[in-house]
Amino acid sequence: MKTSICSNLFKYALGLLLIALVWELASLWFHSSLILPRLSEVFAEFFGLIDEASLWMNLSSTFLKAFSGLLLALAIGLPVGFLIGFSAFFSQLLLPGLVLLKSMPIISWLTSILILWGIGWEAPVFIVFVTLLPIIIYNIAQGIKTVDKQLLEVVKLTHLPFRKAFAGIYLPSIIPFIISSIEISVGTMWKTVVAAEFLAGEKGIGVQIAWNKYYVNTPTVFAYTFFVILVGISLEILLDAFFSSPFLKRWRGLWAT
Amino acid sequence: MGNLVLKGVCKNFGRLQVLDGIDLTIAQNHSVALLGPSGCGKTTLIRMIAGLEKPDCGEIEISPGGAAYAFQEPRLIPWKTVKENLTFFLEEPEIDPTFFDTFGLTEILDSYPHQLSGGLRQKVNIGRALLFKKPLLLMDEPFQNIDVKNRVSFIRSITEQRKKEGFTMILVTHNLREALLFSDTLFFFGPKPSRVIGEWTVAKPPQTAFRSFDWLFEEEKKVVARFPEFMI
Repeated sequence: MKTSICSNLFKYALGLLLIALVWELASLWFHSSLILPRLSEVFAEFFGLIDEASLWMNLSSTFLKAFSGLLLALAIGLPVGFLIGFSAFFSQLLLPGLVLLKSMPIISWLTSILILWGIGWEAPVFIVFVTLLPIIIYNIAQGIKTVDKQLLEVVKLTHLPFRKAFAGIYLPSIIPFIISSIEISVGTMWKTVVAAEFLAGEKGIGVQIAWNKYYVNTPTVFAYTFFVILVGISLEILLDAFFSSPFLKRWRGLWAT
Repeated sequence: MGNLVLKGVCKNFGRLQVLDGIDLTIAQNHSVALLGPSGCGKTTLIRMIAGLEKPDCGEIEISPGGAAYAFQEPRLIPWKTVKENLTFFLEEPEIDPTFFDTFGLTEILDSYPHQLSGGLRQKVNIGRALLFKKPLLLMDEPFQNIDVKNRVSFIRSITEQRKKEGFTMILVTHNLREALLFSDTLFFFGPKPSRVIGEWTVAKPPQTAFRSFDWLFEEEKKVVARFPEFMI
């Protein structure tokens, strides 16, 4: 067991080394830090960045917008997902809107958003919201449709009040779907919020990337990107640890069987 | 007065004709068993009686009050304990503790379904159906995973319960002895498309002889002599 973890780690390290090698070769080929800076330059920038207080201010600003968008999407997405899951009528009525929302490029919102709100926190929050909303709605609706049909027959037979069936059977059945929709959403949320800030933000990591792009500070752009990736991976690891904590695991296990 | 009357009930699944004109009258407080080959539509019939399926023709007249149904599968809620499973569907969640003792459920009340054997889950399933206290109890091969000793004591307890509360019971089974122990009347079904091909009134022994089982073997011999295809 221990050796296999070690050998896995070794393979991961080898994989990272391979990326670094390709990067360095490409960087030597372009021979311009404006196109692709050397890794050493990027890392120097990165360690300079994390020493600055402004980075952490920007990070918290980005976090705030990202999670506001997520909470908003959950607040609207859960009830709408339930509605679609329960009712064939609403499922058909809202499907075109959902497909539209899911396929619409975020930049298409931009003109209207910028006229409405201008540059600021509203646009990134909104863009995170509209990106996550269809994901959450789909997941919840799917969850409702997979509730054990045999249990629902017992519900029907006993004329159980809907309120009781909802709290006792539907809600626990879709908890895994709520968890998985949050897990899927968080990765998407993080990439989206940075892109949205880049396009329409006032402060935040995405704005920093935009400014440095404007001044052709390519090493700094990559240093921020490296930071975004690190935070994104950490978020997913933290979330995974939270959802597989003993308490939640117990409930998840019970719900899954 | 019939508690339950079926007139020319038939059912198709697509082009497959399962039941072809079932006529049955089951008197109030009677206990009947439906016997027949696998897949002959017995389950479909009691699902129609329960209102879970609609017949394609014919009529089902059922006196008001509804039906309780012990399904073939336990159908327990995985995230609720045995006790919660027993009470969840009830309007009045208070249960007489002697009920748990009678049906051997006391020791598992705090267990979750996944911690129980198939037989124990099945016991909870039957217990839950009995607690609904409906005028009609439908049971679909409920004893499949329960061992013989427990099976007999369960049948005794349910029979006593039925005498106390007076409900009509329909049991779907493959097991002739089980059917004889439980029922006043047996109905035999033929292969698909199925009809009722025979009826047998069980000669129940006086109470004192009930424990000896001699009557059961005698009765079984007589039934098998008349319906040889149902020998098990």
